[in-house]
Amino acid sequence: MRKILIIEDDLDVARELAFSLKKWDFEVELVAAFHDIVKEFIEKRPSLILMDINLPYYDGFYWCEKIREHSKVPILFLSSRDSNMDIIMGMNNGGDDYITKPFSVEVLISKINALLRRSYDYTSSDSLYYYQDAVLDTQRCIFRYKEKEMELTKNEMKILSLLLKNKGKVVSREKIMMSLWNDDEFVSDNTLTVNVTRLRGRIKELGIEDIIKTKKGIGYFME
Amino acid sequence: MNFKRFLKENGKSVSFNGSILLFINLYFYVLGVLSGSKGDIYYLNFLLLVFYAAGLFVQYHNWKRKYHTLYELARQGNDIDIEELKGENLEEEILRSIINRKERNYCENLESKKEQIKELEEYLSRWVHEIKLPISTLNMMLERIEDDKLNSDFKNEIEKIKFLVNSVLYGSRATAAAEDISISEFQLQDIVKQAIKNNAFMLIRNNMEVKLENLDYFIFSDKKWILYVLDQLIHNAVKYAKVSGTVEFYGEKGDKYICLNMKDYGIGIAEEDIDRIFKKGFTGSNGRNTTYKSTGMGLYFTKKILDKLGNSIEVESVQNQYTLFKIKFNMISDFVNMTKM
Repeated sequence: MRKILIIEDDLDVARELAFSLKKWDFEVELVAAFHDIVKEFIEKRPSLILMDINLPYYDGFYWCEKIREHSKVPILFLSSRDSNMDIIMGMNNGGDDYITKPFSVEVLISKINALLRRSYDYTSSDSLYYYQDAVLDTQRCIFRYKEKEMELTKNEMKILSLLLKNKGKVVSREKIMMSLWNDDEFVSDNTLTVNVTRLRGRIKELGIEDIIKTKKGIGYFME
Repeated sequence: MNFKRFLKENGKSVSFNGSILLFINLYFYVLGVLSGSKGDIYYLNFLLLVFYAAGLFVQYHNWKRKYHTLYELARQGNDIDIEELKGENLEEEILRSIINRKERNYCENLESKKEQIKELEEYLSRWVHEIKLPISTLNMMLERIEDDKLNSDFKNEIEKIKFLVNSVLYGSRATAAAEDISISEFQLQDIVKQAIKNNAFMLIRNNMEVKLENLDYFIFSDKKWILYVLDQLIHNAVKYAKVSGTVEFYGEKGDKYICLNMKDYGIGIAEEDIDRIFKKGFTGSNGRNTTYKSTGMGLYFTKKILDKLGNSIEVESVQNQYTLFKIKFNMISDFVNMTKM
């Protein structure tokens, strides 16, 4: 499990961040002593740091530079400041990425995952999803059942992985669309229906019957 | 500034001198002294008049030289510098001190007002940053609400708050004296996609369909401000849509500019309103009828910002059919020329 250190002095934000990250299976540590963050960092040895900019004693840029003297750990800035200057400062002081508040959790998680992937070069298990005897490989965009393999389109892959990630729960149409839109696929409600119908048809070809169920008026789910 | 004016101003002194001459002549005449040498008296009178006239002329000349510049400046309505008011007369000194004091008061007033506005702006931008913290927290807490309907409703309200907070920040920046513009080159496509993503939730929730076409153009402008402008326009498109709607974005190349068109098939704008939608505080019949409250500031800021950036915006609409906004970005050669101006 990857450990993430949250350096954020607003306790409400920190607590909620911790809560969300734990839900995504990260181990989370908060900073208690803001006057010596480097020490906390060395003690806790996180795989990634979420860093606010407005902090007591010194700002995030300062600490970022200090931490860089010790380690190459990925640092993701998290701030309500949104001027170009701040973003540039963040990067120049050794930050790896910058995200402005308020942010969506989904975007945050995908940035964290991308940074972790890049920094630790791991082909994580999070690219593979299992469903009974079938496997969805999100990196290769392939759905495999027994000996048969099938290439999926980007949209189909996204939809399927979302449903598999939330196995047993209904995923609302809104949520699926938000996720697709996040990837520049601005599909309409009708297009989504068409996509799902096609996906069902193709999965059927592989020999699995009816794995995507419709919850009328709300969304889809897989058992 | 002619001789007549000079005579008018110095009339008293001229007539006083004249009357003295007359009085002396009368005096001699009545008493009858020197009556033997009348010729001498006439000669003396003539000499005195000549001298006086010469003196008057020199005086006129000096008068004209002294006031000419000031007079011309005042006549043309130009700004008059205190330095122009030379001379050591009591009158001039008094005038100088009056003007000096007025100017100082005016400057002090102006400074304190500027200071007040600056403080307000700073406070506002700090406030916006602070309000973003609880909004972020709410945003994350949302993940904990399992009920889809409730989740979506909550999210909708949070999105509204976000939009309003942003418009406070950008609205105050738009009218701020300090410039906050950084021009760079970017692709129309990227910025439109970014704007759509920023408003994805609202668009999806309101069943809006989005179409992009022909956006492979590079433009020069300020990314952040254009995003803000698109935010406003998309917001309006959703606000004034019919039950479900479509928003189209398409690029177009003119001979001097690249145009971003944004067309929605919503309720449109009434003909009598269309000339006034960019006016401050204008809400029009649409703004008053819908359930959404209109502040009348969104499009006003939009236009203001685009003007500042040197981009322009036009609108076309047929009521109940469509609204089309055209944002024109000057092409590079024109842009360079423009900044030189």
